[in-house]
Amino acid sequence: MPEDDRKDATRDAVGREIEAALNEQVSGLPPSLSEALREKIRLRVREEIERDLRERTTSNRRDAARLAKEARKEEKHAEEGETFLRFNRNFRFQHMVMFSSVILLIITGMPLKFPNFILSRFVINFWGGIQYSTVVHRIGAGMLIYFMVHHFLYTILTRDGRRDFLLLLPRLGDAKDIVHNIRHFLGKVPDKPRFGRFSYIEKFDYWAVYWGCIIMIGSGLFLWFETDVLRFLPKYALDVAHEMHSDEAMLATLAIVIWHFYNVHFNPDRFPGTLLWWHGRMSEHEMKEEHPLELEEIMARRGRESAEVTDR
Amino acid sequence: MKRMIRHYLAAVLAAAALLSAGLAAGAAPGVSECMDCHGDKTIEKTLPGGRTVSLYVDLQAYRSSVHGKGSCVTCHADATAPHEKLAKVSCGRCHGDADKSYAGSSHGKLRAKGVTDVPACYDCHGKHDIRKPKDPAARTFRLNIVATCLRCHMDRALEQKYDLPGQQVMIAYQQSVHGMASKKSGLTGSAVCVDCHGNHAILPGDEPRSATHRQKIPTMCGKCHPGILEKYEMSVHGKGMRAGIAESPVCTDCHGEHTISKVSDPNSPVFARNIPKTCSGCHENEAISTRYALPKKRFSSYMDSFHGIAVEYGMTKAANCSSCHGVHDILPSSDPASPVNKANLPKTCGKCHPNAGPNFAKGDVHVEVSPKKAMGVFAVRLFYTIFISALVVLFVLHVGLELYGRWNRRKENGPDGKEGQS
Repeated sequence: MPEDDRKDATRDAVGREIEAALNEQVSGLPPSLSEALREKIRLRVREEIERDLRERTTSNRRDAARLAKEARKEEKHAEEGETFLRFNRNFRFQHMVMFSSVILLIITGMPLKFPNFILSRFVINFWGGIQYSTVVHRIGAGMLIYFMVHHFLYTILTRDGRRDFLLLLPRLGDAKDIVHNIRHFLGKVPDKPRFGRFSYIEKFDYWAVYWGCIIMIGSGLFLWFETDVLRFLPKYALDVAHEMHSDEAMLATLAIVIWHFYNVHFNPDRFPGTLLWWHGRMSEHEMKEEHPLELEEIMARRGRESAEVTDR
Repeated sequence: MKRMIRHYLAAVLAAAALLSAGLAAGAAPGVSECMDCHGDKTIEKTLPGGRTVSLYVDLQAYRSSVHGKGSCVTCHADATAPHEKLAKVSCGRCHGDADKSYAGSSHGKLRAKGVTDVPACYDCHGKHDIRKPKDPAARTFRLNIVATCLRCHMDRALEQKYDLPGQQVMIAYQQSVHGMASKKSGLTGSAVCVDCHGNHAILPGDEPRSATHRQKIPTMCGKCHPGILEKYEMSVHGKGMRAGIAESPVCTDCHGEHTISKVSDPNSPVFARNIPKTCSGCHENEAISTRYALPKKRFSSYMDSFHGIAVEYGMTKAANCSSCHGVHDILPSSDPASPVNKANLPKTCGKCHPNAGPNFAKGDVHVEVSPKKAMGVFAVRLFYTIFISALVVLFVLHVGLELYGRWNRRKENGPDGKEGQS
């Protein structure tokens, strides 16, 4: 590695220079004092060299820069406390692919369901007419299919994916949470239910997407490749697929607009939305409010880990 | 224009009368004798109103006219030299057939009642300069006919007086495929007024004897479009029309009358995008559908399909009514020759969907969502209607309750309470 060689050479030269300058400076001092000073400087230089060694490779340097940036940020927002990574980068990417595709699909698909709606013609003409808006719809469909495959592999192949999938499975506690939450809304109990990593609201969102994707992609592929499908199935099967595609689209749109938008955008705590989808982080305060059980778990795990290894 | 002619005519007659009164009747004069006076460009007579009218006859125009080889007295039999007011010229003496059919026309009938602002022979054919209709200089030449008719039919005063079709109809004709073909392209084969309305025997379309009566329209259009007529006669519409069913569509019901334009013209009622609306004029009509036991909801079920929506958004290559049912040769689906007969559907669908197989015929094309007609679609729709309604109610309930709870707690804790900060 010529770069490293060059660095080593530079470092040696700098070392000698420091040594010479030091000798010059401490020549008039008593030996004990000069030795202490020398030791102090040697220590500092070694530390500097070690740091440089750690950051020798590019990726190391990039990681270090990021850590430094985060440290600075945390220092800046010290009052907010620690932030917790709720969604990893992979998951956030999936979500972005999904919502872009769903937006494309809804705006190019809904005008076909409501051709008489006043904006429909405008939206279709925006894409240059129906012959192009249908192409855009297929691009959106391709993105959604990609997302589905990606998420499927993510669920199977990654540790986070498997963990989240298991945590997303509905359980009895969710029913209790619903009852508890409603009682809380009505003022019967003072505190809201303590949710874990996923509340029933989020679980509903997740499984709605699952169900929606299966129906929409399945029926959509029927309509996309209608001639091939009709080689094996009668036309009335295609009619059923058409109806399902149309109705499920309506359901999905309403679920997004009413349920998801309220819970992540129009909810007074979050209005007009947070950047969680972008950076994936949640503040300690938010964690305490919305996922107290998960926060407790994280803290307990940290406690265990710090008992095993000494803190950095 | 018309008024001028009227005055002119009156003047000629008055002058002739004065002249004949003052001069004794002599032997029948020859053309040159007549021209002694009438060849003078300054010869004129004064009307009672004080206006003057020229009595000049252009010999050259007369000589080159269709009657140019004859003599003045053939028509003006009572003319002497000199003469007073002459008797009315009767074209019917020679042109008996034309005179007879003219007498039966709207123009002729009014004329017989003494109305003078409806056209007589000379208004369309001219006087001394009458030429054969084949002569490009004739007023009745095919390319000049429109201008000849429009002399009166673009006149607002006449239009209101006789309740004639408005100017916009005439303008529409001039902009139609027929009008443009004759006016712009100079084609003599294109239909001009007389081709449809007849020449001497013009009658309003609601009179059974009229050339433009509904029952005669297919034959009339078929004069120039015989191939189309042949197909139409075979179709369910053509058969219905021949059977005397007045509601059965004729050419003009789909194509328009004076407005007829090319199929490729976006304003044409038979332009791909407008076809569904044109057909639905009858086929979405409850009375007609019931009377002839036609299948119902053809238009709405089509408009619910992707074909209908795509056409509505201007995708003209998407199937419209005629893509499957045919155009002039439409047959009921029960007819084995119909392209929408179950047996022919794969082939018909295959025009756009390559490799369409027999499965295309298994199910309705016009999907009527009812348990009887399309159980699967009906069930899915019912399920989703219930499911969506239920979910929306639950969503709204949950959101509403949450907001209610927030509002309540805010009231209790005050805006700076626990819920106030987030």
